[in-house]
Amino acid sequence: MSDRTSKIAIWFLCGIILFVYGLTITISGIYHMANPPDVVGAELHLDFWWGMVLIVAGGIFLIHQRPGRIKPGE
Amino acid sequence: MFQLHTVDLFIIVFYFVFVLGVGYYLKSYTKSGEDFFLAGRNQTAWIAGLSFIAANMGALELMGWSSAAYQYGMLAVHWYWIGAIPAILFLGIFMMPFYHVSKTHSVPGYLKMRFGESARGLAAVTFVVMTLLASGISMYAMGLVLENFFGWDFDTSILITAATVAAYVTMAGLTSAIFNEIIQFFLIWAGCLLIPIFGLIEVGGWHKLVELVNMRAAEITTAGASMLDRMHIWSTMASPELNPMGMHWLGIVFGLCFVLSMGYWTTDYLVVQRVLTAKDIRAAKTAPIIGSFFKMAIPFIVILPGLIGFAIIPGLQPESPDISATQSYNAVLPLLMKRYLAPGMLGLGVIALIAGFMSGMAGNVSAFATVWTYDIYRAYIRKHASDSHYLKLGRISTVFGVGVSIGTTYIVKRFSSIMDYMQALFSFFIAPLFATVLLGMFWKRCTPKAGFWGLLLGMCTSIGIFLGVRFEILDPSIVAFSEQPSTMAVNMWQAAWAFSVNFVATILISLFTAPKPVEELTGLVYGVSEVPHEGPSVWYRKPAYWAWVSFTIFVVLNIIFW
Repeated sequence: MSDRTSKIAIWFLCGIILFVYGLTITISGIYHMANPPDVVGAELHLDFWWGMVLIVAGGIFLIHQRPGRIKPGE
Repeated sequence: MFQLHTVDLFIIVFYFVFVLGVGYYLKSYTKSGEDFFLAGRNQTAWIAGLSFIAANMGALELMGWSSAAYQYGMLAVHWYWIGAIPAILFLGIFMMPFYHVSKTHSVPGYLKMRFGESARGLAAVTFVVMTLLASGISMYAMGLVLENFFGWDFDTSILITAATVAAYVTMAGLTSAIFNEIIQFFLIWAGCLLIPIFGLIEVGGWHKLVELVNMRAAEITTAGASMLDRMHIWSTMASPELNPMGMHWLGIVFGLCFVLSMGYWTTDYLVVQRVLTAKDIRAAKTAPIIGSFFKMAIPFIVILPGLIGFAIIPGLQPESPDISATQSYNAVLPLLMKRYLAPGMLGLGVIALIAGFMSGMAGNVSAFATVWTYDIYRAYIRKHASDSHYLKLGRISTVFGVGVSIGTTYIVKRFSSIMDYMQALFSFFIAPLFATVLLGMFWKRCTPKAGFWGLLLGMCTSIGIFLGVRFEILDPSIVAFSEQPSTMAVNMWQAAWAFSVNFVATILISLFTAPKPVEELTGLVYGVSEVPHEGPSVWYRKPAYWAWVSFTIFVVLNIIFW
């Protein structure tokens, strides 16, 4: 399949889904700061921070593995 | 019942759309049988290595081992460390060179080259049957989770998830399965990692957790009996009576490490297929080694939640018709999700479970499609068809495999005890297969007749012991060398017996039958082949170096939790 390898690296696809989920969870984390959910540890706002971690991880994949920057298949 | 919010539903729907989109995108790059069945054999070590581990991380794995940690304590970690790491490293360093260089498309394909048609046929048929049954059982377990905890309709959840897997695997075969497995790998970690972190914060850290677990263990100890330690992995294994699993260390070292784990990680085509996609010998050797590091880390998101659940959610019981699903050991991971995960995070947690299920199922159906098409259809039904014919058949058999799995789900639903039996049976076809591959790859005198008859005798031994114990003809204490062995201990020894019978029988039969000429063994057996080497490179690119790093971490972890 070497001459027909996907133009988009798998890591870029991982970046998309991590970034979208990170953004979603960060926004819901901000909402939960004003409206705390009924779960143990809600005061720690770990959902907000976890969302940020996913955004950063997804962002790194998106930037580093964007189509055209990396040779396909790497 | 858990309440899902709009944000959770968005996360779940987005996931399904995304994995289908990935399958659709990759479809245009899948033009040949090799693309479909072996992902073009051009994957990097990281891609092959992560999908190797992801295919093994089914939903049953996540929930089942959290449940086992609740029930047995830290002993469950043996299935991730000694029950995986030595075997994975052995696969990477010693077996991958031969699998890769022989250019085999499957493990039964290797048996064909080494022992001939009959051994391949036996291995292929048992693999196909067991894979489809295992896939159905896993689907049944997932349907139950979604029904019991989230109130989703059993039939609808089964159909939607199975149809999604069928769609993306049919579109682009193993490439699509692998790409989605890697996405699922990240989602499993993203969805599960916060649970042990929350748990450790709530109980006050590791030392407090140990105190709490010991306290709970004392509470459930019957009067007059001594408390069974749950926080050490070796020091309580000198005698089966000293640990909650009723297991002797010999059962773990021989039964689990040497037989079951070696058999599973080195000959079960579900996982081996992933590393066969590697682009070159270096990637083929490095892929399992990369996987070993992640395998060692999985207890953090699986075993630790089980221990935390034991400490803070006391009173869960073994699964039985008399209690609801939310009161059984199996509920520990979903209950912790409910306890800690806010809306949004909960959706991600649910996706982790669904992703685990889908990656396991995609692994099963893609392996099934390959073995069915190459090792049964092409070998016995239509030998000389065109590549496009086999590609088309691969797509059809993927849909067929998913259909049969769904059918199995409903058989299991009617006879739920089959679930326990089939899980055990599946493992025990693997144990004798390992003896056959091991002798075939490392002993040139091993003959084709011995390969077939040894394998058959090993399988008959495992089925015989299994049926003997189930129908109370055979005393389990004789099988497992223990007065009151747990089911797990009997399973372990059953595998050890199957392996031993196959091993001894294969050697004896080999001594009385004619071996293959040496020239026919080149590239298949150690000793008569030049071991393929990845060539010179800097130290940090050498697979052996990373294998030693992995092995050292494995030893240190065992010492820390001794």
